[in-house]
Parts: sequence; structure tokens; C-alpha cells
Amino acid sequence: MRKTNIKRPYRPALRGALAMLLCSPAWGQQEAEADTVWPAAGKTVDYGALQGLPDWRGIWLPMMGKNPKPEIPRLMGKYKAHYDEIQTLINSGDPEAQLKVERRASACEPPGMPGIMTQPYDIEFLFTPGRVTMVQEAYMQVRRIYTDGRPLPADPDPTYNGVSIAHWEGQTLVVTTTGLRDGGVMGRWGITYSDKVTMTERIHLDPANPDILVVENRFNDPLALSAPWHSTYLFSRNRSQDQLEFICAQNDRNPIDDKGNVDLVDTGQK
Amino acid sequence: MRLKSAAMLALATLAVPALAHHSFAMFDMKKEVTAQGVVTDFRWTNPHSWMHLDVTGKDGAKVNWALEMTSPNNLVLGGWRRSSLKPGDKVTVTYHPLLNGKSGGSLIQVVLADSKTTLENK
Repeated sequence: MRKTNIKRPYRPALRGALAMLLCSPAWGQQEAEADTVWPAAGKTVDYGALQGLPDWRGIWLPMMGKNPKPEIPRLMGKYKAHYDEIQTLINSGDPEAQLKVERRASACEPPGMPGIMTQPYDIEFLFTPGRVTMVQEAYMQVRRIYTDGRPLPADPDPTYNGVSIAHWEGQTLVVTTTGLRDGGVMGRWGITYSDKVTMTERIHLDPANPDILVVENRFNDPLALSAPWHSTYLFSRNRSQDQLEFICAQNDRNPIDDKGNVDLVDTGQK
Repeated sequence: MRLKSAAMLALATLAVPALAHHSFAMFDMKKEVTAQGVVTDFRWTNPHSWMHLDVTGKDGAKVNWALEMTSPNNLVLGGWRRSSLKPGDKVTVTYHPLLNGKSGGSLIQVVLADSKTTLENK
């Protein structure tokens, strides 16, 4: 519903744009370009600026097992307690550790940031004026990264992927993300963040190999981390295949109970 | 010790956040079972593809098994097609069985009896 869209942090700016629209004799000639928070309402669009951006075409496959090993996080409070619990489980060899890390209401529930970047499926990037859009093949998830100069919202509603703004530093896209949900997974094996986390990604091609994409992450979290935590993801380019449809509800036979146990149903049926 | 190593390997291989859909804790990842059967159904669907096959036990009883695979999106990278299996195909399957004893599992590979083609689930 359109009404839902209007309830965004930029509502005052949009209200102004709407007021101008309503007072204007012609919708196509409205003067909303003065509203820098909603560049899509501007009179002109500069597609030519896209020519200066790097070639990120193709689909990018996660190089699982090739990513640099991240440092041990300096966690605090309940986030450290959770991490320690998981590490104890792992060190005990308890195969149930995975269940205790992966607590979801549904197997089709997406991981949120930064897990959306590291699912075992490809990602692709689309460049349009004022925006970079990333599409994750798994569950056909979308990240909207705004490069139009808007500020981060002061008090965003926490969401799976948060709010992302970015700018280009040469050929590197520098993305800042806030508005993430408390308890979201920051890294493997129990590394979680609070809803005060700020995540910065530096995304660029490997200077030594333009078919490798490097994503360097930095997390700052005044509640969960006593020092910034870093991780790096690598992706390899495939120029000859397209993303495929992925409807998770099509044939999901893996219900999760309230204890986090995953089942496998419809066995032994013809 | 061996069990611990196998469990750790499973954890490391299937670790968060590389997991897409669900954990594999319901399967006995330490155990690999090989069986011959006849395909009764092949579902080329997300989030997982599935094959069903009738396996006749030593007692002569026929049991229908359901074996989970990864998604079509990943299977196509390994040479699978939606037509790779069809009802009536005689196959040899290798899989990790369910821990709860039900007739289901996670497919490792399937070998088609006629063409000797081997398709891996990865």
C-alpha cells in the first residue's frame, strides 16, 4: 500500500513534495527537485554519470572457504555471553550447536545483514542514478543502497537489512548501514550485534584480478563491541549466467519448532 | 574422537552464515547409506529439489524414500536439469539418513543405471 511507503523517516520532506504536486497545475512540471532527500522527484536525471562507475556486471559467487579468517571479536555484555556459549558448544563437539546458533521462526526467513551477502548463492549489482541495488539470488532478496546524498535516518525502525547509504571513493563503494535488528548475526558462530550497530562496507574489485570482488566490513557497536570488528568477503565473477528464480515457499518441507529444531516432512510419500 | 571430528566437520562445512535454508542437524552426517531403487517422483523446486524412490528391502517390502537436494539454482551449476530424473528410472543413491529413522535423507549422489551418469548434490 502506498500509505505504508509514506511512513518513512523522510515523511516531512515527502509531504512537502506532495504539497507542491497538489498545488501544481501539471504533475509533469512539478518543482520537487529542490527536495534533496527525494532525488527521484527531481526534474532531471543524469544517466551519463553511471559511465564513470566500475564494471560490476555479471553474477558474483561467494568464495566460501577463501575469505580471510576474521579476528576474534571483542564483545561485551549479553553479546559476549552468547558468543562464549556458542564457542563452548563448538569446542565440545556438540552437533546441536548449529541449532542453537540458527534460531529462526521459519526456514525461509532471510538472515538479514550481513548474512544476505554470504548465503551460498550469487549476488548481482544494478547501478541507477542515485542508487546501487544488490540482488541476492537466495529468496530473491534486495538491498537498496542510496548514493543520492541523503543522510541516514535519525531513528530508523530496525529491519533485517537496515538502511544503507553510500558514496564512491574512486572505484570503491563505501556503504554505511544502520537500523539493524538487535541480535542479528554479525559473523559466524555467535557473533551478534545490537540495534545500535553501524556497519561500513568498502566494496571494490581486486586490483590484481577484476573478476574478484572484495567486500571489507567494519562493525562499530557501542553495546556489543568494545573495539571495531572486521571481516572480509570475496566473490568470483561469472559473466555467462543469470540469476534464477527462487521462491522459498514453493516446496518448503522444513518447519522449525519453537525450540529451533528443524524437521523434514513429507518423507516416504508418493 | 572420530565422532567429534565428523561433527566438527559438519559444523564447519555448514556454518552460519553460509547456510541458506536450514541446518543439517536432523541428518546423520557421519553416516552414508547406498541403496538401489526406482524413481517415483522428482521435484525441481525451491528451496530444495527432491527425489522420491521406491527401495525394496531384504524382506521384500517396498519403502518410498524422500531425498532432499540443494536448490535447482545450485544443481544446474553441477550439470543437473529438471529432466535429469524421471519416474521409472533405476538408480543407485548415496545419502545421509535422517536421525529420527524416517525414510528420508540428504542426497550425496545418484547414479543412473542406464547411462551410468553420476550426478552429485552440491
